Amino acid sequence: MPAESRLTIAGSDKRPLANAQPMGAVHADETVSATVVLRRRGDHPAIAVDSDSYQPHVREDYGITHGADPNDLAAIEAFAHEHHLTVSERDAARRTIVVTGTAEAIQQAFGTQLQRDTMNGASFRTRTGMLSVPAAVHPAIIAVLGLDNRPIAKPHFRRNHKVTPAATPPGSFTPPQLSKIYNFPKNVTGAGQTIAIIELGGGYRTSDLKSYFSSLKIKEPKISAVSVDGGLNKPGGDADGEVMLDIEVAGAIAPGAAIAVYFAPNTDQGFHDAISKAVHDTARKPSIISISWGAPEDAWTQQARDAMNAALQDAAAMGVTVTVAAGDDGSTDGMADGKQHVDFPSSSPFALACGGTKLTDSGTKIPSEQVWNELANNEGSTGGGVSNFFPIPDYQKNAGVPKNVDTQFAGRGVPDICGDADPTTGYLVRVDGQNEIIGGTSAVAPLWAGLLALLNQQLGKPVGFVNPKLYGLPASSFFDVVTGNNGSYKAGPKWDACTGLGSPNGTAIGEALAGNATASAGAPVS
Amino acid sequence: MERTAIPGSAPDHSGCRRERAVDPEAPVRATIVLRPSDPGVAAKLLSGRYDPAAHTSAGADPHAMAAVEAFARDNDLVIEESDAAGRRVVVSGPSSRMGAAFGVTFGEFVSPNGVTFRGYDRDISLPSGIAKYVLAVLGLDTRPAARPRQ
Repeated sequence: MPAESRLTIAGSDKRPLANAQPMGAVHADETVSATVVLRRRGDHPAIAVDSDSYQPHVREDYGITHGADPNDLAAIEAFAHEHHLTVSERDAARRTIVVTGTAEAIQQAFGTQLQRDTMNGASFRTRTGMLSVPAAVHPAIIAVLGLDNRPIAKPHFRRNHKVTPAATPPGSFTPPQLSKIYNFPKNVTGAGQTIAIIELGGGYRTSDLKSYFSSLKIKEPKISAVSVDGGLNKPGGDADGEVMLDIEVAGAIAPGAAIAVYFAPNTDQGFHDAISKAVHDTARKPSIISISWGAPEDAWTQQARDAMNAALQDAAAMGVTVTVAAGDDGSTDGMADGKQHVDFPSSSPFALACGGTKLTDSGTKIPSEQVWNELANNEGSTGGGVSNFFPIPDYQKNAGVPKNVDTQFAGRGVPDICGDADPTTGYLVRVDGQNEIIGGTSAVAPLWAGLLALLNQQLGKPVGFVNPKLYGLPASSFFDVVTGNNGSYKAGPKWDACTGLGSPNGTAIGEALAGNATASAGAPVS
Repeated sequence: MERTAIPGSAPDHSGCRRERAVDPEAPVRATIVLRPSDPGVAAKLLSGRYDPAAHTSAGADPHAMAAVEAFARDNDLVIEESDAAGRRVVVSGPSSRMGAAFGVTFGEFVSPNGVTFRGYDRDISLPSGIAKYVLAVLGLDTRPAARPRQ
């Protein structure tokens, strides 16, 4: 190849990742995607080889104003093809082109070397120094993003440590192991059900899913991606851990169910529209929606909370169960105002709020569990407490929900139920070519979504809005978690603001719901 | 024309820095969320007295949908989606027209952790005849809403 004249991209300098453990170069054939951000059209000189006279204007602003110049788009596409990269997305309005290829091809195209580093048990692709591109396309490019996927803010991960498939570290679990410990019904697979999963970032790779389900000797479920408001299945970022955890846990528990992953932008509009699309999806007809994203109640505008809550009410009215993670930052939900907060949308009275435990396999019929609280080790704790916005729903009125400790508001108690979530007793999953242990209440939402798919098949109809039913079930339907706290709230017998009613005794819940259905047949419904 | 504010629609920009105005031609896309047509459904659901088989979807009132669509047309906005079951009308247009339609001024902001987003400055408002049907207008603000719980 003749030597090409290259120029560095201003502002592309990356420093080494502090406190990280270098793991060497990335594999040459690892798939890497990068987003090339183009300049706005107009007021720019045409692409010139004489680039000395032109200083590219690097903007921190990636918002939409003017679209890209079609000539620039064409030039970048030609550059991609010359470097054996695939153009996987092209958006003139957003001025972005996403290119995908092997690490080797990407490194040559952008004049960099990609490393793999680990930090706090999480694995990142990193690079140091500047990026460069051929001088001819240089003026058109204002940034190249995604080659380095180190976390920008403090990692919110609940990742434990990387493992090899052959050696699951003691204390962690595969979903089938949890299915057994929690006594999920056998001889059902969730056939005939669709589980919707809401994702506000990240993506999945089919190759990882194939290898994961094959390693568990489980038939791979039917998985499809649905785009909402321009959201796409776009693997290559930090949120992949969430996406893969959700799909792999739900899919391994209920491999007979179809999984539809709704990808939306991480805005209140995207979040709302994704729920709404899933609820009203007449093609896929999900009977369960699993949500592992959220933010403290106070971080939402009232109108956004109201709109989301109304969408969740629609789900309930249409017989769709929505499982929602209760948060990973204990009773403050990570807020620094000295007050206690619950996480939304889990605090919606129409959500099945999922709390977290630390689980030890006791080898008996009763799993050994306590509240997930690793705050002392900076490893998170289950969310839970009392809403400041949603009044206590009828179904919780006899559950012993305390008033909000700060405001004395008689609010909705969070969570409703729980399951294993502590990353030290976390879930074995496969993410971006790596096997990892991941925890968080994020895992509990798809765990319960999988269980509900099994129960829906077994009962012959969807359980629908299940909260009022669950609070009326016999105590033997749950494994009551009575030890531990999440900061301000303590676990105790029956419902508590750390673990709700308890973790699932799956078969017992199925039997109790079937009994309820029989008992209430013919009863008037007002 | 008399306008009514959408309750709880004023943004909280504490700690954020306003960088600049938004290009008047920049495209903006918003989801208008309508109120459920049957306000009695919530209480029935929460008390376990609701039978899904006895109800169809509690979608939006057809008159409300028509009124919101007429409002969009009056303001030269594009109706991208109109979903009565989902109680949603998605509209788009250049920021100048969208700002006028919803009674806000847009700006580009930077959050305390360095995220750049488009936001607006005050309560969203609508002509009073329309506001009564509307629960929320989402998407005028593009700030990240949530974090993964893993």
